Amino acid sequence: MGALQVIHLSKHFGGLKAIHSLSFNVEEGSVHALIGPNGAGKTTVLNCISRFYKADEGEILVHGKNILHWRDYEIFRAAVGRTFQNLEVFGDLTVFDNVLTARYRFMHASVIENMFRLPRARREERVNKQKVEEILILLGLDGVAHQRCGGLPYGQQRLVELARAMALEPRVLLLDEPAAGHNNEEVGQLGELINRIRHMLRASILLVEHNMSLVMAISDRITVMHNGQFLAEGSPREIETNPKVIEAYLGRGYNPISAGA
Amino acid sequence: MARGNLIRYAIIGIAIVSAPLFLGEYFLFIASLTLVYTLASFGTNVLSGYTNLLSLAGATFFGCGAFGTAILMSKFSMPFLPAILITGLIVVALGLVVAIPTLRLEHVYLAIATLGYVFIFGELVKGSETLTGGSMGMGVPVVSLFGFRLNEVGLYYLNLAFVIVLLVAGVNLSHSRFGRAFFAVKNSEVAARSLGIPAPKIKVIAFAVQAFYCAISGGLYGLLVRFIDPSLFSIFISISFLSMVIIGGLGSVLGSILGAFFVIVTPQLLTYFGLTEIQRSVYGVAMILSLMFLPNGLVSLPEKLPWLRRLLGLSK
Repeated sequence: MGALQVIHLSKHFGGLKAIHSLSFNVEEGSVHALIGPNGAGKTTVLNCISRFYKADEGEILVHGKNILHWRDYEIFRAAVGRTFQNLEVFGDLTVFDNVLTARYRFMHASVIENMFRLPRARREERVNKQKVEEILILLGLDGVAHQRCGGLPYGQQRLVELARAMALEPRVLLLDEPAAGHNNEEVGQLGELINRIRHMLRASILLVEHNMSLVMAISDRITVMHNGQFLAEGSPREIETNPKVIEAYLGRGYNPISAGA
Repeated sequence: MARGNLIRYAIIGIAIVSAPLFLGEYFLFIASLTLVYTLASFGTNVLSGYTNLLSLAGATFFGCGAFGTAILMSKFSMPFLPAILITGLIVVALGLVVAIPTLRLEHVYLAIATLGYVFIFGELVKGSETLTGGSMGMGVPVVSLFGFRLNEVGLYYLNLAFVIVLLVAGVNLSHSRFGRAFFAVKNSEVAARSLGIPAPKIKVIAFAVQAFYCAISGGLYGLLVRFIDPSLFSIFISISFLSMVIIGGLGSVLGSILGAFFVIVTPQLLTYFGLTEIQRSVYGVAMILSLMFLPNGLVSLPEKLPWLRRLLGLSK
C-alpha cells in the first residue's frame, strides 16, 4: 500500500478538463515527482489532494484512507503538509511565529486555560517552541528567527514555508515548486534538505517542480503529466530517455542529468 | 533605558490607581466609563482587528450583558459577581449561536447580517416587560461587595480590576495558539487551513470572545449608570465599538484602550468646555483626521512623532 494513492482522478473547470483520469502511487518514504509542461494540471492535482478543489471523480487515499470525504483542514490535521507555488507566509509575523502557528494541532489547552496561562497551556507553549527551534536550526533559519518574515529574501521565505509544513509533522508532504527563486547552488542545498526532511520525518514527498536537476537528483519515481493526462511514469533514468517525455516536455536538446548517477 | 521605562510605567500606574484622589466626581465617572468601554473595545478588536470579521452585533452582547446582570441582581437577588459572570457565560452561548449562521458571510455582508441581531434583541427586551421594564427600562441595584455598598470610587476600582484581569487574560490569549490562529485566518484563510487550523471554529471562538467581553462591559455599564433601557440595542453602540478599534489600532491591546479613551473622552471633554453644539462635528472631524493620518490607529502615533517617542522612551 502506498502512502498516497491517486486513483482515476478527474477535475473539470467548465468545459476544460484540467485532470483526466490520472492515477499514480507515492510509495511510503519515497520522493515522487510530478512533472510536465505549464498548464499540465500539476498544481490542480495538489489542490485536489489538499481539498482546495473538489475532485469530480476518482479517489485519493492517504495511507489507505479516502480523504475526499473530509473537510479541507482535516486533511492537514491528518498529517498532510504542503507548500505553495505562490508564497503564503505571514509577512507581518516573525519567522518563529510563522512556524509556531503551524503547531496549532499539537496543542490542546482551551481558550480559558490560555487566558489564565494554566499549567497545560504553559507546558504546551514551551514544548512547541522548543520544537520550532529545532526545525529552524535544521533549515538554517535560526539566525533570522525573530525577523519579520516579509522582509526576508524570497528564497528564505520559501524555506519558512517549508519549515511551516514540516512543523505539521506530515507523513505526506506536498511541495509545489520549492526550487522557484533559488539559484543553482541553493537548489543543490535544497535537494539535500528535502532528503534530510524525508528521513527525519519518515515522510513521503510529492514534488511538483520544473527544475529538472532537482527532480532528477532526489526523485525515486517520476510521473509525467501532459494536458491533464498521464503521459509516463518511471525512474529518473527511464523518464529522461522516454521519447514521449522528450517530445512533450524535456525537448530534443535535453541532456540527461541522472546518467552519471 | 530599561530603568527610565520602569519609572514611566510606575508614574502611569500610580496615576491610574490614584485617579479618584484628584479627579472630580464628573471626571471619575468618565474615567469609569472609559474603563467599561475598554472591555467592549478589546472584545471587538479580537473579532474585527485580530480575526478581521466585521460584525455589528456588538450592541446585542453589550445590551444582553447589561440586562442579564441587572435582572439576575434585582429579580433573582443574586450577588453582583456571580450575576455578571453567569450573564457573561450565557452571552457567550448567545455569541456561538450568532456566529454560526454568519460563517458563510464575509466583509460587509457579514456586518449587515449581524445587524439583524441588534433589532431582534432590542424588540425582545422591549416585549419582555415583566423582566426588563419594556421600553421604560429598569433600574440597576447598587453593587455590594463583601457587604460594602460601592460608591463612585468603589465602582472605579471595581472596573479597574475587571479591566486589568481581563486585559491580561486577553494578552495571554493573543499570544497563545488561538491568537496565532486568529492572525492566520485574518491574513490568509488558505494558509491557515493548510496549517491544520480549523478556520470555522476559530471564527466562532472570536465571536464568543467578543460576546464575553461586551457582556461584561455591558454588565459593568449598568452598574455605573444605574438605569438601562432598550436603547442600548442600537447600531450606534455597535458602530462606536468598531470606531474604538479602528481609531485605536486594529489587532492591538493598547489600541483598544486608546480607542475607547478617544471615543468616550473626546465628546465629554468638548461638552465640559461648553462646546456642546459643535461637539459632534468636532468629534467627526477628529475621527476623519485620525483615520486619514493614522491608518494604523492611535497606537502608531509614536512612530509618526519623534518627540512623543522620546517622551515614552521608545526606541525605534
